[in-house]
Amino acid sequence: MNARLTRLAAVVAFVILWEATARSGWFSSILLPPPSLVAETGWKLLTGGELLKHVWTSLARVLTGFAIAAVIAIPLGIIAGSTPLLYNIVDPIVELFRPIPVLALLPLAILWFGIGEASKIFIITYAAFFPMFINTVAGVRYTDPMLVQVASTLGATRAQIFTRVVLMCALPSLAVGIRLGLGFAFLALVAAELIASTAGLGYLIMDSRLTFQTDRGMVGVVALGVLGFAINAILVRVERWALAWKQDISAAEVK
Amino acid sequence: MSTGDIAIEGVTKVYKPQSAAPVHALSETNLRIASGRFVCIVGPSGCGKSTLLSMVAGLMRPSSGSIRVGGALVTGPGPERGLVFQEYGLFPWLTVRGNIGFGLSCRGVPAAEREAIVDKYVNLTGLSGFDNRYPSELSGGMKQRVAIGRTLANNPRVLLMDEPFGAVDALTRESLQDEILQLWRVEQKTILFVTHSMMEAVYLADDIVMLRARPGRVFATLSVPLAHPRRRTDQSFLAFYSEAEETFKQEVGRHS
Repeated sequence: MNARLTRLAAVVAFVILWEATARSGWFSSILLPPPSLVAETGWKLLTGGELLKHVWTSLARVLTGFAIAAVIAIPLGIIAGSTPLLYNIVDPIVELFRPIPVLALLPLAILWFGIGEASKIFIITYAAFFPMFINTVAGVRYTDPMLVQVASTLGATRAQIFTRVVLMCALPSLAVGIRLGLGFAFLALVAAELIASTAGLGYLIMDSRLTFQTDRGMVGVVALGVLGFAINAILVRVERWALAWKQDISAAEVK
Repeated sequence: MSTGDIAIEGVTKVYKPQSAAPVHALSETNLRIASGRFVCIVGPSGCGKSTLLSMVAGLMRPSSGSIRVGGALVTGPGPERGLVFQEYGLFPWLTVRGNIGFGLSCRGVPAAEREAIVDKYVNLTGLSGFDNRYPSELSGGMKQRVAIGRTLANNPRVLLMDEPFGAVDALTRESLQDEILQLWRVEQKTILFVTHSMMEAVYLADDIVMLRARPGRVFATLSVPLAHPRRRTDQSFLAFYSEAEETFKQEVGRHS
């Protein structure tokens, strides 16, 4: 039996097991709705337009926060990675903030930015910043010195060495940072939406819990999974294309 | 004065580690290499042969003395002095063509001219058909051909080679030796070639410069009185090889 078939069979078996368990009567169907009911509810939410509204709200938040983080983290990482003085200024500050779990900042963020969009975007940006910054710095700092020497003996100027060698050397590490950053952004998104929001997939889950509509909540959970999977798949494609020269590229799920 | 000649005058190199005594990598060295010569530098590890080459390349400054290439003082790296590394140093994100054209593109050579030069060196180095491969898809011998082609495409006056065939297998090594001699005949460059193999030096060089270690110092310079093409099994080749090996062993054997 080939591998693909085995994998498909495992998923089908899982869904069947879930359905059987839910219908067995061991658990209340309020706590564990069968997948058929979740699918039915999902279809209703989808055709009714409600699901897409929540997906869009969440997606807009995640992408905005992630984009802001990228615009700050990548240039800052490049500068810090290539200037020892700036590295020694920025790095200790980053190390100071990095171990703080982003959820710990949520109450403060609400205090500072209110319960509207700004606090959510802040939390997402904050979470996505660190992996992107740290991986950019590492990529720039660990440029192969031999390649820099080669370029200089071939007549490259300092600026050319930077753009054509240092940045290219940093690219694989940068790609890892971007994928991790997006994963962190998703985690932060759900946390921010669970606490205070009136739309988004996190809100859908929270609101369903309050009204005991577990099936509706599960639709939100599945939608988050599908969204995260789809975005990661797009990034893996882009990465494969941009780093085609690198044979040992790992397509491992990083989230 | 021809443009590919190298004048090394009173050059020394002392490394000063922060927490240890200074290391004399190379004591006073004087060498004059005429344009178009193929010179091999032979010596044990630690004799400063790679240091000397790096200084000619401009990647390292001498502690004292001066190096002139074509009459111009060496103050930093430059495309007129091409360097080929043992570990190839190919840009992994560029194809064979991209690597060979790198120097040309940095120096702003127009695309059409660049493509023509790249084509020439792809053919000269026997890489036709592999133009669009990435370095990770090439064998060691092919990687070194790309590195040599990339350096020659820049049209340097001097080709500096730091144990260029040290990382490939013996058979590939012999064919690369023949290829570099062929390229040298066609391109008329001055070649400064570092090796630790006396056999390689006798096969390739017009002149052999011998160094000993601790401190690095030139102790002999031999002219190789053999015409090309040389055969490793000829009596005259073997006789000269034994003589060179003897000279080397006497000095290096006694002191190391």
